[in-house]
Amino acid sequence: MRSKPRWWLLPFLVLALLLAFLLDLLSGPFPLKLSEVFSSGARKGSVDALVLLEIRLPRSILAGLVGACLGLAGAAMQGLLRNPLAGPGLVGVSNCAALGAVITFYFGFAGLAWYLLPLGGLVGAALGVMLIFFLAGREASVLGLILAGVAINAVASSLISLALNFSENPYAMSEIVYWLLGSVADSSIRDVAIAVPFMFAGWLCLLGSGRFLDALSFGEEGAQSMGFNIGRQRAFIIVGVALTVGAAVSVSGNVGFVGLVVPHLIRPLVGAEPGRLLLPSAIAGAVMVLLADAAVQLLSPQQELKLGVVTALVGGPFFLWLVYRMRHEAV
Amino acid sequence: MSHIQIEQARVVRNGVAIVDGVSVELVPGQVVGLIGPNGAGKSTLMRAMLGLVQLDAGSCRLQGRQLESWSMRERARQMAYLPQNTESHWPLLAARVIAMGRLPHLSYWQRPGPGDQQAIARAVQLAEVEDLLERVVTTLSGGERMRVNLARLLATGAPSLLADEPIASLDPYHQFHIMEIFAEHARSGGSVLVVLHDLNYAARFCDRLLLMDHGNSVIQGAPAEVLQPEILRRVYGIDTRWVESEDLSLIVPVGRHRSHH
Repeated sequence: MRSKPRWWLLPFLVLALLLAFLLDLLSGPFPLKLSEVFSSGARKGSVDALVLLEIRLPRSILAGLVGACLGLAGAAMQGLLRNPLAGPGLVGVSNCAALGAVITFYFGFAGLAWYLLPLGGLVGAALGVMLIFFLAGREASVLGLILAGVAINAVASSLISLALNFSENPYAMSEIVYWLLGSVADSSIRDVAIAVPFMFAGWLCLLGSGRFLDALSFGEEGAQSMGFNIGRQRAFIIVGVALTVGAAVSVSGNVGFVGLVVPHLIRPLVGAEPGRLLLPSAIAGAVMVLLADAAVQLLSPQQELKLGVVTALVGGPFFLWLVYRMRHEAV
Repeated sequence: MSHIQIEQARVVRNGVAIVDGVSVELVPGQVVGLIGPNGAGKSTLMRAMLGLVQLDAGSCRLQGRQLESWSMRERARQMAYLPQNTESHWPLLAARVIAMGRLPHLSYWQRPGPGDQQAIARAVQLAEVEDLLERVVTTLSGGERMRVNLARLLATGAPSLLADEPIASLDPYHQFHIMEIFAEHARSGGSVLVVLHDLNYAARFCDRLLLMDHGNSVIQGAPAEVLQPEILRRVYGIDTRWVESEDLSLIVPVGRHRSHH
C-alpha cells in the first residue's frame, strides 16, 4: 500500500476546488453568457448578472460549504471511532440532523429566530453522534458500528416521515424526498448566512483536533498516556461534528456518502494520518459536492435530480467495493 | 527522589479488588519487573500508576508530587506507556509513529522544532529502527512493531518507561534487544517498570521484582529473593529448579506442582 504523504495534494485540491466551483457556477438550465455578465455589469441589472448573483452564486457557495462540512466531519468521525466505515450519513448522524431541522422547520420554530433552524439540526446531529458513540464507539468494531448505524438511520428517517405527515404539509411527500436525499437548488444567500457561523465554529473544533486523532490511533489509553484529556477532546469532536453536519443538513438535507468516500480517497495520500486527513478531506468534500451539483444540472436540466441521488450513485458502489475489500483483508 | 511511588494502591471493579494494598517505587537507575500469574492485577497496577485507572484507596506520587495535581500533558512528559496492544488502527508510516512520541511536548498548532528532531533521532538510534522508518507499521512483524513503538516511547524523553508484556510474543533475539534497551535506559538515569512472564529475563535484566497474586503483593526484592522455588510453587503452582551452567544461573520450570488446587 502506498502510504506516503504527497506534497502536491493541497495545491492540487485548491486548484480542483476553483475549477469545480466555476463549473458549478456556469452550469444550469439558463445558458449564461459570461461576456454579458461582465460587459453589462450587475449595476444594469441584466438578466445574466441577476441569474449569476442571485441564483447560481448562493447555490454554488452552499454546495461547497456543505461538501466541506461533510468531508471534514467524515474524516473526524472515522478518526474518533477508529473505523474507516464511519461517516455522518452511513451511521445516521445526518438523518438525525435532518430530523432536528424538520421539527424546527415544520412546527413553526424556524421563523422565530434565524439561528433556530441550524440549531435544530445541530441538536439532532449531536444526539446522533452521541448515540453512535455510546452504541459502538468504544471497541472500534466494524460490525457494531454498522448495526448501530442501520438502527439509528431507520429510526431517524421514519421519524422524519412521521413529522412531515403530522405537519399537515400538502407537499409532505416531496419534502421527505428533499430531506432524505438533499439538494442545494433554490438556495438563497440567506441560507448561506444562517449556516456559516455554525459551520465555521465546527471547522475550528474539528481542525483543532488533529493531534488528538493522531494519538487516538493507539487506542483510548494510548492517547491518554500521550497527554490528552480524552473526555474533553472527545467532546470537542462531537460538538464539531454536530455543528458542521447540523448546519449543513439544515440547509441542504441529507447529502449522503460524501463523508464516507472522501476521507477514503484522501487517506493514502496523507500517509493515513488522521490529523493530516482533516483539511484535505474538507476541500475534497467541497469539490465532490460541487461536481455532483454541476452533474445534477447538466444531466437533467429540465427536471432536476436531487443532489443526494448523484452522490449516492457514486458513493453506493464505492461503499460496496469497500465492504468487499475489507472482507478480503479480514480473512 | 523516586520517579513514581504508589502506596497501598487499591482498585475495585464490580465489587472485586483487582489490586489490593500494593506499594511499589520506581527509582532512577533501576529496572523493576512486575511478575505474577495471569489475572494477578499487574496491568491494572501499572495503569493506576499512569493515572489511567482511578485508585479506590492509596496514593500515587509522581516526582514527589501527588499524581492528581499533574495535568495529563505534564504526566505524559514524565512517564511513557507501552500497552499490551500496540497495534495501530491506521496504516501509518513508522517514522510518523515515532514522531508522535513528541506529542506531549507540542501545543496545538506548534510544529516540531530541532529539539524534537534530536530526540526522535536519538530514539531511532537506540531502538535500531533506521531501516524501518519508511515502512508501514501495519505490515511490520511483531518484533519490528515493538521496536518502533519503543522508539516512540523513547522519543518522548520521559524519565520513566512503563511497558506491559513488551516481549511476550517476540523471538529471543528481539526479547534480548528490547530488554537491553530498558537496561540502557536505566543505566542513563531513567526508571523502568516492565510486566514480564519469562522468569529468566526477569532474573537477568531486573534490579528488583514485585511478585503479585490475586491483586496482592506477595514479595518484593532482588530477583534471587523473589524467585525461590517455594514461593513460585505457592503462587504459580509449578515446580522450578535453579540450574548452574558455567557463569549463568537459570531458573527452569520442571512441571506443574501435583498438589496445586
